[in-house]
Amino acid sequence: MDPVVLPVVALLAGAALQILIAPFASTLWKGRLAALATVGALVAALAVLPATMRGEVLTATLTPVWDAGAALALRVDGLAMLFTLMGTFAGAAILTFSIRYMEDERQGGTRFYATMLVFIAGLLVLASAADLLVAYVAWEVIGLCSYSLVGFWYTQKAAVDGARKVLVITHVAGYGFLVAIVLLQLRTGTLDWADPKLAQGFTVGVAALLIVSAMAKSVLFPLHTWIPEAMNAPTPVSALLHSACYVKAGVYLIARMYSIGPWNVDLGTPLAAIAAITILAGVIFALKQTDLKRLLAFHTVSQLGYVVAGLAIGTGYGVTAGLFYCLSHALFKGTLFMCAGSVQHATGTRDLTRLGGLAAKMPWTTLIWVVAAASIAGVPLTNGFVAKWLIFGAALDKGLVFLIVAGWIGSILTAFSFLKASVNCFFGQMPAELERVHVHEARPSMLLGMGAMAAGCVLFGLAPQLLMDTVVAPAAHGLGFADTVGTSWGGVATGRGSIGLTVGASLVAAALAFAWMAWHFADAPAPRPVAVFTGGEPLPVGDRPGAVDFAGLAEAAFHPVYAFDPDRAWFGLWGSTTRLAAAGRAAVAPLTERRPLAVVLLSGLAVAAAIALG
Amino acid sequence: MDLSLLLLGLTVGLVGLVLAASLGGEGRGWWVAALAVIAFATLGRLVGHGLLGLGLAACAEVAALGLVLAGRDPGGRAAARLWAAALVPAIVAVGLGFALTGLGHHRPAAPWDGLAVGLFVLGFGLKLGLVPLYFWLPVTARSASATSLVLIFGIVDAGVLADLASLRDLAPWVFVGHAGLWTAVAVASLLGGALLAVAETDLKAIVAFTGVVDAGFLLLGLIPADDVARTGVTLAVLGHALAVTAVYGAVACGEAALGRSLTIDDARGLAGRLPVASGVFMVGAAALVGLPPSLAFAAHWRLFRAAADVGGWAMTAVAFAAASLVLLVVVRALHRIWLGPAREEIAASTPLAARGVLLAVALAIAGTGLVPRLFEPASPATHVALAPIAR
Repeated sequence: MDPVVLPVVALLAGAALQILIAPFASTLWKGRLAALATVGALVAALAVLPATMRGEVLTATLTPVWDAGAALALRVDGLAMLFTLMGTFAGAAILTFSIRYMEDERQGGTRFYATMLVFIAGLLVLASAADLLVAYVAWEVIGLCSYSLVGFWYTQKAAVDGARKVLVITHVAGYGFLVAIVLLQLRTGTLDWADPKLAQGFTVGVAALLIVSAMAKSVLFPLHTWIPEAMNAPTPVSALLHSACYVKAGVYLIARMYSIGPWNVDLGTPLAAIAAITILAGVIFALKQTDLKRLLAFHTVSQLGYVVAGLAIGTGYGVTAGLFYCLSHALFKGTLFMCAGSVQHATGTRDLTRLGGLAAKMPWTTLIWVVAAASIAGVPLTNGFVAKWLIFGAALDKGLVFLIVAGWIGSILTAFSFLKASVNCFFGQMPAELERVHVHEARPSMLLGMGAMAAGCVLFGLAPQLLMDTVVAPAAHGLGFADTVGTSWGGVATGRGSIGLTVGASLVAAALAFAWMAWHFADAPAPRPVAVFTGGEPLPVGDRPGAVDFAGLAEAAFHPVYAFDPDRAWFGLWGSTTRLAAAGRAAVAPLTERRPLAVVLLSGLAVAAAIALG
Repeated sequence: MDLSLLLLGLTVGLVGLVLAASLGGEGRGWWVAALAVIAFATLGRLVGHGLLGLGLAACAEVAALGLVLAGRDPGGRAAARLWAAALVPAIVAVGLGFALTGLGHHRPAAPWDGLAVGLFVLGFGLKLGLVPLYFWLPVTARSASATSLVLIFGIVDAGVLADLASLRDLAPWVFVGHAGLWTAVAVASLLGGALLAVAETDLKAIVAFTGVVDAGFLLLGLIPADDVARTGVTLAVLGHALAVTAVYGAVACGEAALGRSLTIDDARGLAGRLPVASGVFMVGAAALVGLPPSLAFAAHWRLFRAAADVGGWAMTAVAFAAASLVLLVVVRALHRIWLGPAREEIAASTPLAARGVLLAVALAIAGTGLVPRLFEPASPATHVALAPIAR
């Protein structure tokens, strides 16, 4: 079997196996097998990596004949490999986490794991599809998988309402992709991504249709409103949806548009403007949240703004930055969601107003959370810092000041939001009601899943060149961009300057380690509550700003923004349509449904007139 | 397509009969009518296009009236009368059209060619319930049992659509020469059918109106003179038949469990008690909307392409609006009736045989969608069909 198809085959075989063993295996074993399938897919993907690093484009056929005389073929280039590695690595970590997280689910284990595996396979096929039609099929398959997974608890109203919103918003916008495909085919006669003829049909309208589809999938403002509603899914679903398999589909589509040919009109500036608004809207709504998963969901909106901003800049530097950010986001967001899942698993709640002091009972989860939170906030030594550095550098080079301002404000507010979440969840006094619950540390396999992704945050923060050389640069090359981000053993270098991250960060890390050892082995004071520094009036010892205080502060500061709800427009449109339909039917029914003879005669006259008039 | 349609008709017939037997409630008259529909439709496909074939197809259509007449619904008689008021003139009109054109083999001189086209538009419009000739459709859909609708829409309706597709092959001038007229009917059916589905509350009638939208899409595929559109039409006929079989089959299980019709106003959360029927409804609904993997998807993108070819951006926008409305309507029905918390206790569950055939239909939808090439019409041009449209 061609090694190119192995990752997809491993996942689909895993899904088939889930169905075959359904009557015999426990949910625990189903989880183990699913995790094994994704690890197998990851290994298979890594086996192909050296070829894509050399700039080779590998092709293979999944089925020789599929539709329209075409084969269901895969073409793996640098970009496809980037998304393949992201999907399989995140999938492996998240499904390892799921083994224990889902073991108590009495029903739906097979459905859950089989759909998760198809979901990941869908992303791989989308990224590697040789033609647009296969890409669209994969696009819709991951849409259906997400619908099924978000509505996993299908007898709960909140879950199915969320699933409905995912399906409607992403699918209706997804028709843009379909229409773009048929227009491209009609004008150029080809569906092949790599066919140079495709560029002839790549007009502004076609590009706009593709971008609108991508916006809905990648939660860009104003098509982002489905994502907080999708939070009633099992946490591994949220983690996969947010980190790798769903929101990144739109990112892929925007990136892939560069392989059709240069954007011969300025699509970048409007897209960058949308990205800037998305950065701010996402983080401002996140500030208001007291539900941990909803908070993370709105941060996904904001972070996707950064990713798309990089791609919208349109230079080699920008695209490289966007792709690096895309991978970094997968790592830290997957970690954060799994941590949130661990918290919910241990405490039975994800309400920040009812959480606190978990660090004492869940030290490893806390540590992993802090790493990922630092990463999303862009703290040095993490991959999030490098990603933001690159985005800001690329925006400066292009002179997109508005993007820098939005990104800067977004970063500050992100840090603020994660300070709130971290303090309220893990530090301070544990609420009395939680004391009564047996709060426990996450199981080892759960820690392994989230720890692996958190380790990636640190590794690629200290040595971003590892990711840059192996995955990001080949992807940018595949899209036709030359090297603009240099790498060395010391870190990464751009035209605007270099950051010797590996050297500098290693020094900082060593200093921190020494400081910690000195503190630990010296006569370290026992942990005790201290007054929280607020920058103003000191709070009494033991008191702390709570989630509600933060939410109230955000409400006071940004209330005009919260009043803007794009959902009102969609619901209004749907309401108007239903009223129009009802009124229209009531108006015509006396004739069309109760006077058959008159309808037939009038229709006959109309047809006769049409024929007579030619 | 004839072989595919023959097998499809037999499969749908079998599904309908198994559902009726396992869910119960149908009388002797219904069984006679059902067997007559299956037999006439099968014979008609075996005979092929010709006088006898058209006659047998008409017999199947008339026999389908018996399904409504013999049903349990007290309004069945009135509904059958109304449908007959459409069906009889429709059969006459289509018959006269074929008579004028020598069964489609030659084009009569003016003005007879125009008359033939007019008769075809009215005849097929009445048979399919195209807008504005749909007066019989909602009443029939509400009154007939869901099992009857499996046979009516999965066999009879599919047969009418297949006849339309055959007419396109035999007499392309009927469509190409009067593209404006057919386009107008298609647009009316796309938008009108979708809006009527939005305004409807009875699930069976909602699905019936989505069929009108599908017919509108199919009409668009008849107009362009290229093989991609022709393939789209063929796949649309097969895909639509499978989708409605799944959907109406699931509805039949829901009705049997609740003991009444399913409407979006009062049925809630059936999935908790009827997970298989609910899952199959979901698969069928996805195919109705044209989601992959299904033959309906393979048809859908081709018919979208035909829309763009026929009317550029404007027609593409109409197709987009209709498809989006169908999606919203189907999702609304799915979420109101099947998913979410149940409103009432349901004692009955779906019998094993019914579950089995429904699962088989769902697998057939997904399975055929993975190999649409097998169902493409035999034409040497089809396999190299993806060439740009010459302008």
